[in-house]
Amino acid sequence: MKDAASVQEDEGGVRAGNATFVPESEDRRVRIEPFPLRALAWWGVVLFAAAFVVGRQFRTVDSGTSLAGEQRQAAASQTTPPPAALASAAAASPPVLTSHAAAASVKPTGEQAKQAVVVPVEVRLMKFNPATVELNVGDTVEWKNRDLTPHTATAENKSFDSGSIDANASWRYTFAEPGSFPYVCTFHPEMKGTVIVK
Amino acid sequence: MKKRQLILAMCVALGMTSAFAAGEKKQSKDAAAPPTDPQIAMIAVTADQVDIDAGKLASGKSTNPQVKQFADLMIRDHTSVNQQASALVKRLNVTPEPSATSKSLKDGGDKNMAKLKKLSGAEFDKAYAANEVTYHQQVLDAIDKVLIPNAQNAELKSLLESVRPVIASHLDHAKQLESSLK
Repeated sequence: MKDAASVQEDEGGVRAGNATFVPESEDRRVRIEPFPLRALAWWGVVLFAAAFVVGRQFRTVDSGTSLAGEQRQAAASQTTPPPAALASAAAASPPVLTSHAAAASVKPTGEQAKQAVVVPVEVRLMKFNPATVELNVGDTVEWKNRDLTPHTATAENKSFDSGSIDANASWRYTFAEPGSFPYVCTFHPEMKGTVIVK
Repeated sequence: MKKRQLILAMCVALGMTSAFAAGEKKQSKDAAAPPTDPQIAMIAVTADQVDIDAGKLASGKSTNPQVKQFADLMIRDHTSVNQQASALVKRLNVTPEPSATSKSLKDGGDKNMAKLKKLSGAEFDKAYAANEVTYHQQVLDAIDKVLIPNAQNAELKSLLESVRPVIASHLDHAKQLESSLK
């Protein structure tokens, strides 16, 4: 009680601008008490900031590795896409195509080689994408027209001809013979592609 | 002394360029206000329709198989583009709005039709092909300089970006046709 009173007195003294009358020892007693609290608070802030920085760094490392993973996945999908890639391909396709897209693959290897696959070719912005696809005998190419105008996929040797594929429609052809099949859109002959069947 | 002259020359040059820039800005402002999305939609639809009409006339009137083939391509492609554009406009709830640009497109199309109707044979073919070259060049310029830069809706902009390679392809075809008729 007495201490508290003296503190009040001290503060009163300070407020009155009479700091010189406050004994040094008492002044220290008053100030010492909040010091550890303030220090604690500062440490808290510093630790929090440190944790934040470290956390961020870990996160960037994480996203970096997952990005690399995606790139690897994307690279892999050009040969044999993992099921996840297939699912995302299916999700990106219009509803008409989803039932087939699950079986989509570009180039089967090993055990999958005997399984018939469907290779998608997107027709967009007056281009076949990818312009060249490789597949095995028995595989199917599906041309998906995502353009604003009708297109065709017509072999230069006339071995296949889609006829008009309307905007948002698609057309499939199964390759029974090995060989290289350059093809064009007969409506827009500057649009060229090649199917290589092994 | 030399340094001072140089600085003076630079100041003059700067002043002149900025004056020029201001003049240009004023000129383009005077020419036409940028079109709104409903106006852009109308311009796109009108441009398509004008070329479909000319194509139908050429497909029926010409006896040249190359001209007929080109005219059929124009009808097929522009009809399809128009269907996609109309579907988007409907989905976005945009009502196409006429503007000076869409009116001048329509008037130009009407004039061309009137001119073509009076011609026949090789003269008709040449006039049709020549007009298709200038027409597609104008539309391509409008897409690049007016329509795409001013389109506000992302889907409308994306549609125009997809229309662009179609028009560029038609322009090439038209140029080939025109030179083959010479």
